[in-house]
Amino acid sequence: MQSPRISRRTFLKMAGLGTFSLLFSGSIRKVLGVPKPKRYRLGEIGGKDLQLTREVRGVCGYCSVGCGIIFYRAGDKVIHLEGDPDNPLNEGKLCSKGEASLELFGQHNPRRLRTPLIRVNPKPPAEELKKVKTQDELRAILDKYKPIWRPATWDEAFRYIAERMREILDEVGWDPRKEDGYYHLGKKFPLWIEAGAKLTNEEAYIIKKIATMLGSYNIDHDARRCHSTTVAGLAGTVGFGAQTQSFIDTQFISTYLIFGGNPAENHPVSMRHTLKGKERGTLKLVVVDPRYNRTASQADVFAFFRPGSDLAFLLYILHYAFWERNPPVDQLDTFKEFVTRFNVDLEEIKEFKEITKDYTAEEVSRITGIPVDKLRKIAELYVENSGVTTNFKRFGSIQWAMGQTQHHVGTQITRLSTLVQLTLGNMGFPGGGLNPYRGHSNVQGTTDMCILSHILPGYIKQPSNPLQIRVYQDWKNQGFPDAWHWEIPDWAGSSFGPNERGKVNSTKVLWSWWFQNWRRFELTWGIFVGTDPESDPKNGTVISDFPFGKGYTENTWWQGVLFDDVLKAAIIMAENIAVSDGDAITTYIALASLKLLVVVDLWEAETATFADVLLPGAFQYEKYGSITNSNRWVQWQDRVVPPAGDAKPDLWIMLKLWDYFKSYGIVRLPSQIYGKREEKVSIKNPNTGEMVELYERKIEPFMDYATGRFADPDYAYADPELIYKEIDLAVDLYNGMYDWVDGKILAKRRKPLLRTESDIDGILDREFLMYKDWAWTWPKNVRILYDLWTLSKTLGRTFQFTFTPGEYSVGDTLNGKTVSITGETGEIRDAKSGKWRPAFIPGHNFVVGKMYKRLWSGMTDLLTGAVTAKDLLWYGKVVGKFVIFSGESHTVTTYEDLGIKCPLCESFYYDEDVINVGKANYKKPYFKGTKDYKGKKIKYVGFYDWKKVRDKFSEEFRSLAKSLGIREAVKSMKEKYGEWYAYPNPSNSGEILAWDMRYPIHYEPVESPDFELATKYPAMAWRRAENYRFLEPPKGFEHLKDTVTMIPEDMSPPEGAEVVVVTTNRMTEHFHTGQLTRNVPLLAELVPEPFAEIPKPLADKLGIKPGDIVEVGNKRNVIYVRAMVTHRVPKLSVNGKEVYVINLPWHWGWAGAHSTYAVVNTITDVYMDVVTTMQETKAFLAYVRKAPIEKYDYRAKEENLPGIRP
Amino acid sequence: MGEMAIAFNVDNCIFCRACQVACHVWNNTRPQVTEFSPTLTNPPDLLPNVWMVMEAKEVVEGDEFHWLFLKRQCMHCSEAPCAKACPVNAIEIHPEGAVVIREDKCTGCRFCIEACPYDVPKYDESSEKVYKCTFCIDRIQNGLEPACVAACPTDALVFGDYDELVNRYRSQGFEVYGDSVNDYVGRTHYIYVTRKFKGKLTDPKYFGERLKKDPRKASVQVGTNVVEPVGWGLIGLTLLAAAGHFIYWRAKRIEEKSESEGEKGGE
Repeated sequence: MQSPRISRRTFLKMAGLGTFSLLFSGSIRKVLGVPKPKRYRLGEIGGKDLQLTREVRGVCGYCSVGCGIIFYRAGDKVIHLEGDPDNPLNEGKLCSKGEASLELFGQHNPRRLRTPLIRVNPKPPAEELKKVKTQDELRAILDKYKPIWRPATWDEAFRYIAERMREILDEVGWDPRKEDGYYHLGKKFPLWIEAGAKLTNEEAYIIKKIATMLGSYNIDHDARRCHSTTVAGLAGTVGFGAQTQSFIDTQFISTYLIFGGNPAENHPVSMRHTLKGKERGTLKLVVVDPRYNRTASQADVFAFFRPGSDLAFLLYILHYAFWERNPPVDQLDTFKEFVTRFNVDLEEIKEFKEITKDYTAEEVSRITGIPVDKLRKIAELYVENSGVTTNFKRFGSIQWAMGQTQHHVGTQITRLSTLVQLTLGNMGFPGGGLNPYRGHSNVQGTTDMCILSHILPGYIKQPSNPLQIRVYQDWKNQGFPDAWHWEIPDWAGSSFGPNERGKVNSTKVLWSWWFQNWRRFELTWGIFVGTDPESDPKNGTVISDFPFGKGYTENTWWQGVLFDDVLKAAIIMAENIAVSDGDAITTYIALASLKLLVVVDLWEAETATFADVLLPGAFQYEKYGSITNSNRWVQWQDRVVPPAGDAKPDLWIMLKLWDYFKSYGIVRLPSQIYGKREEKVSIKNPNTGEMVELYERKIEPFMDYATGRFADPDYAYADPELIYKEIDLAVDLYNGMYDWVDGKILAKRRKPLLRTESDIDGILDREFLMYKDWAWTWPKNVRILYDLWTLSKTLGRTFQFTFTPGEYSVGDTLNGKTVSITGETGEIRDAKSGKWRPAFIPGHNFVVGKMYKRLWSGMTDLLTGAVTAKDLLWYGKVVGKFVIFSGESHTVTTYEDLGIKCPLCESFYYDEDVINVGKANYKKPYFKGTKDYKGKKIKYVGFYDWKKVRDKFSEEFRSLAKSLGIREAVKSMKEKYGEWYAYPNPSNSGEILAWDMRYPIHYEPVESPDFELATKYPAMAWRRAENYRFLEPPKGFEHLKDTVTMIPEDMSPPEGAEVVVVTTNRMTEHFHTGQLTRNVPLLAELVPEPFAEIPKPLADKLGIKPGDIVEVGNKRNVIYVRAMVTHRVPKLSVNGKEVYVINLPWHWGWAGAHSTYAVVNTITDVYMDVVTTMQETKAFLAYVRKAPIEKYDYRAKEENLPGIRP
Repeated sequence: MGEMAIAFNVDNCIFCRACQVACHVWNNTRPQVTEFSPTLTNPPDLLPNVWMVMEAKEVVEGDEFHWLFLKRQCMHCSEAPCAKACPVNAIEIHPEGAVVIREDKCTGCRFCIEACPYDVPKYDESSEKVYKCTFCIDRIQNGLEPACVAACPTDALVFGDYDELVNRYRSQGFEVYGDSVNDYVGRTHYIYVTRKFKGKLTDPKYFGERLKKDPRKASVQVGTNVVEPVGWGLIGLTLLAAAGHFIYWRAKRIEEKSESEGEKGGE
């Protein structure tokens, strides 16, 4: 199954051999009298002297594959790079972007920022920007207010920022003193922080820590706009929001459905592994996409489909499986066995099956534009090569990226993909799964560290009210128990799960998981969350250094500025939202309205146009830190060279900002204002209620990383390895990535070898090329998520492990037992023995990462306690006290006495009980319960009830839309029934039934090309208040209402134009907002200018020739780009109507090289996902027509190009 | 190392263009400031500073649509008409198959450009020399794969022993272009292989514009350094160059000797 690997060392030896034989053959030629051709030094032609270089290893900073790069440094100059041949992810290979990364370094790139800058001229005024309707008008304003900067020192810049922040805080009266306790409301903090997915894990963790300690949840990042719907859809259905397979594992897939992604262009090196399967003839590649893209060029089956019809396509696959196939999949024993393993309720499947019935091939063909026979062919190929139809020998897998996510129902689409995989048994095996490929090099990591407005690092709930803090304090007093040992007090009510000790359900297990993580944050951050006094959780004063609630998101923040008047300042690090925000002109208005905008970037990018302060940051290669790739491998980046000039890594900037904020009185922690300096950590004797004090913990906010261990001064002040260790202790998801026994950073592990069969997960490692000793993967070094059965089902084997009695810190269910392992367990350092042991027993079910038992429940604090965070982190010092109760008495002992070798390893264990808790959610209602409206009761209902009124709802909507127009029809119905997607119950006049969205059904995009479809499957957007504001905008923003063009008839296109469906895309040669590629001449050579892909028949119809300028516009803006006339975008037949699709790559903006004011996102929309607020940028309407060349404002501006010849 | 080949497997290419960038990075050639390309191929032709270009082409035939990707660079012909045309022996044919212009010897006469049936060598006005792909001679002589091959993520480019590669692809049912093209170019050390587009490699509708069935330049009749059309003046030059070469060769030998000794020391 595997080929022998040439290690780098062997490779170099071979190099020596080659040289020898060459000399030999050369001498023969000499004897023969032929002039001997020249012998060259390595690198001679390019003038590179590679003899004197030092190798530095790193991870590619563009996409999320995680390719290893070796940089060759001569002195302080980086002169060459090659792919790292040892790294199993790329095996020495790189794509065009990775190869070109050399030009990102300041030495090669004159455009990199080198010094802090403060603006001296006025910013573009919001009132002027509000009037912009065309690219020309935008250019006129931005040219007029082009920033003028003066260079500043870092100290000056930090003072400037802190002074203004202090003023703003005082203006809003920022204070944690509330009537019912001491806490902040996280959505009220006036500073908006955006911190990009290019940051390292350590930086991401620190920025979220800083925001939280400032009292703010107004922090978010790119992940909101790229995969927030993936995380919500997946986590809400099967537990984790991540890719379940690895890139390497894609070669074992039988049918790979590329639906909503384009890996050949956006993750080129991932195709290396996928194509291995194709080459072996075991993998069929199926691409369904609005474009015939580079991935499609490799497809066995390809189908064009209409952007925004994703749900219908996926529903048809299940229609085929449930209704066309004989026997239907739900009658297969393998199906029953599989869903049982996920603890799925069979009633749910019945209801869901009913939904798929209506999505026949004919109906879905009308919606998607895919011909009926092709639909059937794809569904058959996919279903017949799935786990449940092949007795778990072959698997289908679904790959996606923004194609599925960027819709106002993105969560429904990714959830449906998950349901397809659940139904077909395609998850939790090598070769099968869910593969949402991430975009940025570390967007998985920055998401895991939760630079997000709604969760704490590791996907931990943020508290929302004082009651939760009281229950938490009570939980602490019970000795930090797991769910099985926790007794929820009666006064807590029912929302935490069953009260009784020993009785658990998934709610209770989750709460105890959240509480354990809250405790980890308390210990490592030096903060306090609880009551004073600690012994009276029910009546004591609530003090919470965690703010309450959820903040604005990256798609709603502008409403926080413009509509709600909450956000008055912003710090934007490593993001360029002026190019990447949907409906970007609205973003410009919001940016221009801020009192203070600080931008930290590598370049003077588009967003800096609106900034007051511009700070020079560093790129990934100029940093130390860990990076998590898309398949969750945490790898280490070493600094290749420091950034040029006075630029600094973001970590340094963040920690400096914290210092300045602190000295300017901006940090106002509730515990400090209350005067809580110490926490009494006690455990209640369950038999007597007596509180036994364990130790006193000092409350001292911890942000001191100046260990001086690094030679570089910036990292001497901000030690990333210390933060790495803190993450291991603070964030359960990443626990295990530091080896506390050997003191090793496992992200630095670079062993490109497979394990032996007797090692933990050794059989799987060998059979499926997992490379478990390369880097580290969450959770607990598990490479394939949810792998419970591969050993037993696919390979027909098991692995035995014996928990020698008393040796391991595990409970009775494991202690002394020999367990039979059937899947991938991952590994964990045992607290007692300090040895490695399997983590998840008997394999990795989908819940076990989040749910576990704790042997030390009721005996000691987490990590056995820490007097101060600094003691814990700097010196590894724990309290180490245990209390052992026996009846009314107790004894206090220490970890040494108990023979515990590694208290920091904690005593978590996972057994079969854990697997039996929690279930996958076929059904997940996003709206629950009832509410009153004008004397009637709105009741959120499931499909059986909704079906009774569904057709009446859409009939009334259609008839209203015919007379009033579609926009007014939405308003009218919402007004009438108090909710969108609601209709009176015919059998109960006092009741209005509203669809609770428990299963995915098809919804048209907000901007649909067909009236009939738009009214038969109305968009769901209007359920969400932020979207409804487009229909009823606040005063002063009436223009937003006109931008909503729901069907072509709303468009009023100019003469000679055609209304089309538009989709947006990235391409191989460029990256996101283009700053990292337009400023790289090697990549700009390949694709210099902005363009639209236009179907050949449409071009012929409109008289557009290749290279012509085209105008693409709607009521949001009008832009001008080149025409790429091609057969690779389609003319479709949708509901019997001709529909053209055009594609716009969105990499261009007005700043840097290869610039234009034609920012694609000024014509996209920001209708938000009902669950996560994801914007709908993948399907909207615009018109297109030919335009005169004068309208085109592209400039190349290339200067100082590197290269010595010619 | 014997006679080598680089195989471009048409079927595996995903047009990521890592090769084109890697070529620039290794050889330190200046990136070109280009314009919009309606096909994505960019720059549209080889240049003195762009030694390889990935070409993309859309083909519609009935209901079938293909998006074709083809790598274009020097073919490294065994009969290397360019080398034969070079009056100053500046183009060397290496035993591995590489056909390399010696930058130090090139006089910019451009006869090679006239002789090349694949339109590969390009003249640079500023340095008054001709440039093209070197088969990464300074990598392969030192035991490394050519830069484009080393970069290629999907193994669409493979470097290996000539006969072994040709035989392997043939036995796996691939059509191979290059191992015996015609008398004018001989065999090319860049070979092109496909299973997906069998029979279409030399079809002008597909790849044939580049992978010519019978590549030759009929108008140019250059033999082995024929001096007739050039005149006697050049004979002098050639002799001079030969003398120069001898001196160079001597110097080089000494250098090589010490270098191989150095290598031993390094081991």
